[in-house]
Amino acid sequence: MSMNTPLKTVPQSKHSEVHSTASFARSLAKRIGPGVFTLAVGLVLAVTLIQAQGYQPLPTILAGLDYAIGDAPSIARTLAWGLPLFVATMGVALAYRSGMFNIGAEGQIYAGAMAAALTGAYIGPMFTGLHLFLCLAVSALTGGAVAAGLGWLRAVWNVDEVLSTLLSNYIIMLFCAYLATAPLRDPARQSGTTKAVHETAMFSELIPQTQLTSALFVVIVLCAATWWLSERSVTGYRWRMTGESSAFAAAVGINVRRSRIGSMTVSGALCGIAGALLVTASQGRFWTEIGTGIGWDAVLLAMIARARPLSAVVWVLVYSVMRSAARGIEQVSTVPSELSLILISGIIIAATARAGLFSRVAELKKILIRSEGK
Amino acid sequence: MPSSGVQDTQPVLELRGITKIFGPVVANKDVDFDLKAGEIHALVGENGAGKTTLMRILYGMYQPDGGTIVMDGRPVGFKKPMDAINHGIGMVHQHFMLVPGFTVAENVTLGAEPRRNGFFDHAAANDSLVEPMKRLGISLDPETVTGTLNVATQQKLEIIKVLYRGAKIIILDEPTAVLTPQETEELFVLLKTLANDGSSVIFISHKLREVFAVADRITVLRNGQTIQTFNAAQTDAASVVAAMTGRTDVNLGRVERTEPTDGTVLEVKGLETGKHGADAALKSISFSVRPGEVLGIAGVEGNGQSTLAETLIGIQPLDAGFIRLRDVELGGLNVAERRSKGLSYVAEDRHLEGIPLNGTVLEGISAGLIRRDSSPVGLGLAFPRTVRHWSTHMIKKYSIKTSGPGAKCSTLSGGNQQKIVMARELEDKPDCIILAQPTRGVDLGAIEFLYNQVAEATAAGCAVVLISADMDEILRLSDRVLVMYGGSIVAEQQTDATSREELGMYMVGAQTMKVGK
Amino acid sequence: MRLTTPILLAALACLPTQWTKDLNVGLEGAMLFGAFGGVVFGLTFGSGFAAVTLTIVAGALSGVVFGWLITRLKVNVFIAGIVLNIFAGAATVYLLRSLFGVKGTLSAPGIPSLPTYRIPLIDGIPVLGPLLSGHTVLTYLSWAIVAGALFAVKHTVLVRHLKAAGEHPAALAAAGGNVQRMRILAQVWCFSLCALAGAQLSIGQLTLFTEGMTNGLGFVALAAVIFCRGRVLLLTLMSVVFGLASAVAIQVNDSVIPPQIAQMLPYLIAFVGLVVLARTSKDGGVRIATPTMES
Repeated sequence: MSMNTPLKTVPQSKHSEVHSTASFARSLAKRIGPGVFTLAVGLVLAVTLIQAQGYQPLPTILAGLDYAIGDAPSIARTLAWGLPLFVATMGVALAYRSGMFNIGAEGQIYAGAMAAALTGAYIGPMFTGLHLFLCLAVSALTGGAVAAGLGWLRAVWNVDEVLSTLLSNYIIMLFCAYLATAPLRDPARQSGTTKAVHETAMFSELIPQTQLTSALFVVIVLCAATWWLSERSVTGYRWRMTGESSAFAAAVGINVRRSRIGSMTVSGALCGIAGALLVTASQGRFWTEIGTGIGWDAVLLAMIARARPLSAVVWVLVYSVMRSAARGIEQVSTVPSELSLILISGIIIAATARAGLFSRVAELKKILIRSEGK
Repeated sequence: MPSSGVQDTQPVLELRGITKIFGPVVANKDVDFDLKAGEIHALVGENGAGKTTLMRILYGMYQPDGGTIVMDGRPVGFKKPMDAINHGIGMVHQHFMLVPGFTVAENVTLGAEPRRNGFFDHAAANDSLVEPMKRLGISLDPETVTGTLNVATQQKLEIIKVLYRGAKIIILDEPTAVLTPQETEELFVLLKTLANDGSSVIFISHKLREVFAVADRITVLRNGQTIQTFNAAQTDAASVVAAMTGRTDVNLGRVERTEPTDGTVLEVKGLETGKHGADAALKSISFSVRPGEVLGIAGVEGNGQSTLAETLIGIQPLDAGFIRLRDVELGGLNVAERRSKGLSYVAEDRHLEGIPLNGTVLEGISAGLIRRDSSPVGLGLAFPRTVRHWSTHMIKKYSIKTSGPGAKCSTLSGGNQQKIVMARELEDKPDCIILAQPTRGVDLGAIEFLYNQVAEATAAGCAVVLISADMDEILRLSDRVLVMYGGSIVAEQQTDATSREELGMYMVGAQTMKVGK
Repeated sequence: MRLTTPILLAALACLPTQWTKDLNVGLEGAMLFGAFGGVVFGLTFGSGFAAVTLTIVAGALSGVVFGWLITRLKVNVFIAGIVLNIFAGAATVYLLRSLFGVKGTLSAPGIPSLPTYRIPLIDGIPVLGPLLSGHTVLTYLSWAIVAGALFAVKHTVLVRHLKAAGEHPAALAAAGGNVQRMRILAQVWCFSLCALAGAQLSIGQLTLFTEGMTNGLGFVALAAVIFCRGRVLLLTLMSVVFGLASAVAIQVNDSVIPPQIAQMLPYLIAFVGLVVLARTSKDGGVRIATPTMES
């Protein structure tokens, strides 16, 4: 642009300032546009589904939102529920970035939860901080070991990780269920639970009656660390390049095997910690359905966020609010709380179909204009 | 030698004022082209000149935004390939349209299967090959699985397929890229046979020697526009090159370089590997490269050249033999270690191995700098300010056309992408660099720039191993040529003491000379 | 034999999607919808036949929508499959609540059950009789489909086009075939047969619908499909083996083998198969078309 009109520098600069704000706005719109579009789709879906049940959509949604983020305790409750999900989503996203589709998050969460429950119940009691650290560390090791094994199979033997992690979910969950019903079950309780962990292996509540515990700080640190690791660090660069094109990574001297195994290990460790949080920050013991669906939620959320840690955090926040609001809605109406899952499904399909949809619309427009021209 | 079947009558096909726009890019602008019966008409131009787009419009794969297609005097419109096929147009694509798991008969009849009672008729499918094969004078077993055939045979299969569908106009998109000189000659004989029968051939290429060998007329495209149509008999390569590039000073001859000096930079002895992927395994490969020398490695693709490149840099393991760089044994080292000992590598598949296609220019160009970060955990910042400044500087130095280091690699042209690769590899100041197909899909201007960079590196004492399927490239750049066949080196010649034809004989294994020290 | 039929039907459903390289991982979800559809249509029309027919029609329509999503709108088939599984779990709960006001299990006397048929001669034979005779029409249909598939692979143009659409879509398009139609068709087939598999569960073997009643059977079928790489006979065999393994989990006494361990068997077999496949095949085993994370 400056080459064409080198003489008119003064007005040009003013003009370009205006121009740059406009283009900034446009790029902002481009960046936020997809999010707005998908949320709009979600909202329309929600309105339709609530209306279909015979309730006033807007008041119902507002009631739900009030339940979710109406006051400080509600926000704390919503957040408390989302804590493990943040960590698990970060873990899954990290693996995606390295081209490893770790859809075994569910299994790794279960493994982590079982590890934390056993460490909490059979070791100790001891100094709280140490006990908690021990629980999280053992869970991270367990989840990490599982994922590292699967990562090794992919990196060295070329066993497709999508399928192997998928199958590993069931194997691990069934194995944990076996442990909880037979050898390690709490004899004092119904089938399917392990012994309660010691008090020293539980996070303390920050706000009473909300279940929001000091695990919050652990989660914040983990999210920030994952972001730095994935997006800024040298290791993150190596992992991302491996995911982008493993042939490129190999050719420029990045150790592809190490990247694959490393990213899977960290991913599994994060999922394991998510499982540990389920035990140490809320349930206090392992039971057979402790984390049902959280792993799959993490898989989906990491996909909508396109594996970017920052947008993953945003999406988990949005989803936690949606989920909590759906519970609120269930309390004031007969709309089941599965509403939030239906919405998130719709949102994902809308988000992934958006590009295709818009180009279809553009094509139709073109045809219309052409036919009008004739 | 042009074919003699041309009839000086009304053209069988005319493209008038064809325009095609993709978003901001005008791929074809007001292009005119005509084709006579019995004619071989070459369509030439650089990458991105709009040849492929034009042919895809003709074949019904794209709809033109303007202009008309006229056949036998009547305007026609092709909405899909089927329409073009029904009008007697057949296309042999650059990347073969053959399903590897299907038999020869299944591939030829795909889309127009003979049926009996609604079911696939195996016998009729086999019979349908007989007539086209007789016309071309070749013979194939219809029950062979296509994936097991060699490239040249697959190409003949493509022509059989086109004839089976009754094509009178045959488009060939860069058909010789995958062939040896001998196979190219065979193909030209086939094409002339077809033209003498009255079929018309559109021959897309950027290799002028071949164009002059086979075409009756030559149409040049540049930047999506028709520049000129030449009569092949009445023009020369220089005029066509001038039309293709818009410049008159393009050097198509030898690249000026300094003489190699004495000594040995890279020494390879008794290299053996197992078979990995499609390429041949290496059998007892030995050679050495002097400082400032360019050693060309010629051969038909699939004869072990890719394996050699990947074994040298350390992507593939070696079973026996040694690789020494300035007396350092590289055999047991990994890629990163070999690179830090002074070896560089330009991989043959730019999009997969050369750059991160969806990554940024910065991520692609600074891989060499980041590799040197030797901290065991690697939690430090990947792109500190110094790296970013350096990359901006490199973009200027190598005149890479891009909006900046943050641009996505996929938005750059092939030539500029390859400049990223070259900048990264040459700025490592290597003792030895392996160039695998360094100018594939790069336009003539950028090729010249890249060759000059290589010449500069050799002047500084860098040894170069140039692996190329492009014979012109080898002849223009290298001091010495090795020919690979079936995973072995079958010939060694000084470049100025050999010829294209002689190398061609070695490339197909028709001749072997005693090589080795 | 009982659990074999839904697994076999679902595996056969998935087969063409493997040919077109759009492996549908949403079998579980599609089956769940099928089971739900069978009960709902059954209750509404009071006839097993009508229930099955309408479930197939609904399945086929869903297949068109799904196929349209993954072809025209370019939604990654892997994402779409995972979403389908989650969506089915949630949507059936939602519908169960809103249509019937029920939570958990829908069981009513009005739900028809598919009649079972005995094959006259074979029925009398000791071991073979109970094995081969006395099944619902859907079981016999699944056997017929196996035979049909074996014939079709060898003798139809359609299967050739399906395979070409997966192996080299550009070749099919250049030869004048319709790649998109083939890909959608494969999904229509997949959803229709999954609908049958679901219906077999809800009105063939039982007469009720429970939330999440497919209980991983879809994934067992998927494991079989992955294991067999498009070979019909092997797929049939594997489905039978996995069906038996699942049946063992239910029937064998806890003291012999814990039920969870028995349930694990199909997944373990598939897992081992996956590893063996990767170790033995030259081109490095199966690879699923995962989405890229770039827009």
